[in-house]
Amino acid sequence: MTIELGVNAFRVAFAAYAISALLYVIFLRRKSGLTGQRATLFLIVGLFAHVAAITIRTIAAGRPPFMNVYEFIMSFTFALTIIYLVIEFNMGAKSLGAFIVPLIAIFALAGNFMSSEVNPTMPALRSMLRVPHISSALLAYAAFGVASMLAITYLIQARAERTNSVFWLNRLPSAKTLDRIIYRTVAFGFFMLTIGIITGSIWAQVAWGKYWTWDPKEVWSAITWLIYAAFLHTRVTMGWRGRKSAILALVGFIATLMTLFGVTYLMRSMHSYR
Amino acid sequence: MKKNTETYAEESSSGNGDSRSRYSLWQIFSSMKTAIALLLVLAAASILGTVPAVGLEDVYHTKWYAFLIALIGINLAVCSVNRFGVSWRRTFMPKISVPIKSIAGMEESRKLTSPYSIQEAGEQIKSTLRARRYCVLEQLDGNALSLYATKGRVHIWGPYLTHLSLLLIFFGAVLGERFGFDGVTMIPEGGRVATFYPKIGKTVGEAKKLGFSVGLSEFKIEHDKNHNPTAFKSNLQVYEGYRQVASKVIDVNHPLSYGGVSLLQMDYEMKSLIFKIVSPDGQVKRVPFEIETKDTAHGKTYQAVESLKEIPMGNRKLTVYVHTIAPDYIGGKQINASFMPVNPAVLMMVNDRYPEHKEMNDWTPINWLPVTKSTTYKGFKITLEKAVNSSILEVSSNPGLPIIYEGFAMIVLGIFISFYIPHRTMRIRIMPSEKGSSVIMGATNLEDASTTGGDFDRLRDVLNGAYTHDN
Repeated sequence: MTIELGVNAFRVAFAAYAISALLYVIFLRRKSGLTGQRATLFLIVGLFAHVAAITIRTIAAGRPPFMNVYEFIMSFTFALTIIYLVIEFNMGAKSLGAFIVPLIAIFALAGNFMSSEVNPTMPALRSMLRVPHISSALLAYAAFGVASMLAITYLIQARAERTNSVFWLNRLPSAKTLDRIIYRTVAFGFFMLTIGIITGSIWAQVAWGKYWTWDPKEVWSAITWLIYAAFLHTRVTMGWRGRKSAILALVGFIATLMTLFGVTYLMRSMHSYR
Repeated sequence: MKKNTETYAEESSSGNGDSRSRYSLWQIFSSMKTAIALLLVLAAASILGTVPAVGLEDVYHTKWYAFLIALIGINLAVCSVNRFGVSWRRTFMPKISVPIKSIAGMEESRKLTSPYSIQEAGEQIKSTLRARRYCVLEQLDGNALSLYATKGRVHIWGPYLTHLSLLLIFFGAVLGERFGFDGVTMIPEGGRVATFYPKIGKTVGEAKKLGFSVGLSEFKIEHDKNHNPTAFKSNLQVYEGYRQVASKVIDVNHPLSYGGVSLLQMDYEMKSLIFKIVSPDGQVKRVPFEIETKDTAHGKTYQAVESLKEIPMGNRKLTVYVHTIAPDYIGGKQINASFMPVNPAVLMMVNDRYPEHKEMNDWTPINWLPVTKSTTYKGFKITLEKAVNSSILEVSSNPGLPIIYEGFAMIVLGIFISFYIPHRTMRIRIMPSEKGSSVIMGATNLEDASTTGGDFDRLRDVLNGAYTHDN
C-alpha cells in the first residue's frame, strides 16, 4: 500500500511537470510574466510530490530508490529538476525552462511506464558506497543532460545573434552567458562523474577484488569522462568557446545516454539492472 | 572576449620555439592538440571493445591499447614538466609591474581619477583589497606605483594536481599488473586450504601457495522475510602454521585482508547433504551424499554423485535413493530449485527390501524434505540434517592499490580546486595627475566576471573617485 502511495506521488509529480513544461513553452512564445511564474510554481509543486514519492519509496523499501530503471528514472528526473531550478534561480532566466522542463516531463512519463515493483536488494549491492556512487553518477548524468539542452539554446541564440532574429534575442540569455553556464554545468557534471567513477572503483575493489574490470558500464563512463575532459581542455587552453564547445557538449551527452541506458539495454554488463 | 594574457602566455611561449625544435618529440607531446587527439582516440578505441559485432571485446588488454595509454601518460608528464616553471612563477614570483597596455588588455579594466596622492591611494587600495582576502604586492617605479593583488592562487595547481594524480593512478595500475595477482580458491565447511588458482584470462592456472592457510568453520546464507538472500557469510580463520593469526566473518562487500592478500566472498557450492537416520531400535547413522554441481547453458544443476545408498542398520537395511536435489532458492537460474523457500530440499525414495525387491512399486516416495526436517518410514526416522557448503573465494593482491587510492583522493581535490576555487588577479597602476592621481585597474578571473565588478566599484568608492572611461 505504501509502495502504491509512492507510485501515485510520482504520477502526480509527472502531471505537475507536464503542465509546467507546457507553461514554460507558452511562456517562451508569449513572454507573459504570469505564465512564467505559474510554470515555476507547477515545477515546484511537482518537486514536492517528487520528494514525497522518493521519501515514501525509500521508507517502504528500506533503501534509496536506485535499484531498477523505474527507480533510477525517479532519481534521475529529480536531479534534473534540482539542477534546472538552481540555474533558473541563479540566472533569473525562465525561457530555458521551455527546453529543459519538457525533457524532465518526458523522462518522468517514461519512468511511469516502467515496472514499479520493489526488487529485493542482492547482497552485492548492500554497501555503504551505494549512495555516494549512485547519487554522484545521477547528478553527473543530469548535469550533462541539462548542459546538452543549454547547448541547443546556445546554438539557437548564436544563430539569432548572427541573423538578428528578434524573437530569440528577446527571450534567451546572450550566447556568451549561455556559453558560460554550459561550462559551469559541464564542470559540475565532470566533478560528479569523477566521484562516481572513483567510488565505483573502490566498491568494485571491495566487492570483486578488482577496481576496474572493463565492464561496459565502466568503459562507457570512462569514454564519457574522456569526451568531457576534451571539452574542458579545448575550452581552457585552446580557447574554444561557443559553437564548437556546444557541439562537444552534445556529443558528450550521447555518450552519457549510452552509459546511462545503452549499457542496460544493449550490452551484457554487471550493471544491467532492469 | 579578451584573452587573459597571463594564462595564454605559456601556450604562446611553447608555440614560438625555433623551427629546429618545433617538431621534436618533446614539442609534440607538450601540445594541447596532441593531448586532445589522444583523449579522443582513446575514447574511440574504447568504444570498439563494447560493440560485440566488432569482435574486439578484449581490446583493453592489447599492446596497442596499453601503448595509447602510455602515450597519454607521456603527454601528461611532458605537459606537467613544461608548465611547472610558469606555474611556480605565477604563484611565488609574479611580475608586479607590467606595461599599462597589458593592464588595459586584461579581461576587465577600468580607469579612474582620485583626489588622493599616490601614497594615499596606494594605502587605501591595499587595505581594501587585503580586507577582501587578496594578497597584495607592490613596486614603485619612479613616480608610478604598481600593485599586484591575487586571491585563490592554489587554483593554478588544481589542473597540476589532477594531471599528477592520473600519472599516479597509471603508476599504481602498472605496479598492480606487475606484482599483484588474482585468483580463486574453494574451502569446504570444516576444511582448510593453503593454495589458490591464479586466473589466466577466463581460465585458471596451476595451484599456487597463498603463504598462509585459511579455514572455513561455517558458511551461511541469510534471508529476508520474503526468503530473498541478504548475505552470504563465510566464517574464516587464517593460520600461520598451526597458529591462528586472524579471523573474520566475511560477506560480499566485507572482505578479509591478511598480509596484503584479500579474500572476498564470490560464490558458494553445495558439496554434500548429511542424512541422520534413526532405526526403529534406536541405532543412529549419519549418511553423506556427495553433490555434483554443473553449469549448463540454462543454469546450474545439482545431482548426487552416488544417488543410491544401502544403509544396513542392525538386522534391517534401509536403501535411500536421492532423486532430486533442490538448492537454496537464491533467485538465480537454478534448474532444479523447488518452489519451497529456504531450502535445500530433496525428493527421494526409500525401500527396506532392496535389492531383492526393486520394482517401481517396491519404493516409497518421500515428498520434498527440506533441510533440518524429518520424515518417518516403517519406524525409521530420516532427517535431512545438514547441507555442507564450500565457499568460493576471490583471492586478490594488489600492491599498487594504496597508490591508486592516493591518486583518487588527489584527483578529487585537484578537480575541486580547478573548478571551485577561482583564481583572481588584479593589477593596478597609480600615476600622479593634476588633481591627485589617476588609477588604471585590470582584472582577470577566469569564467566569473561578476565579482570583479564589485571589487572595482568598492575601490572607486574608497578612492573617492570617478571612472573616466569604462569598458
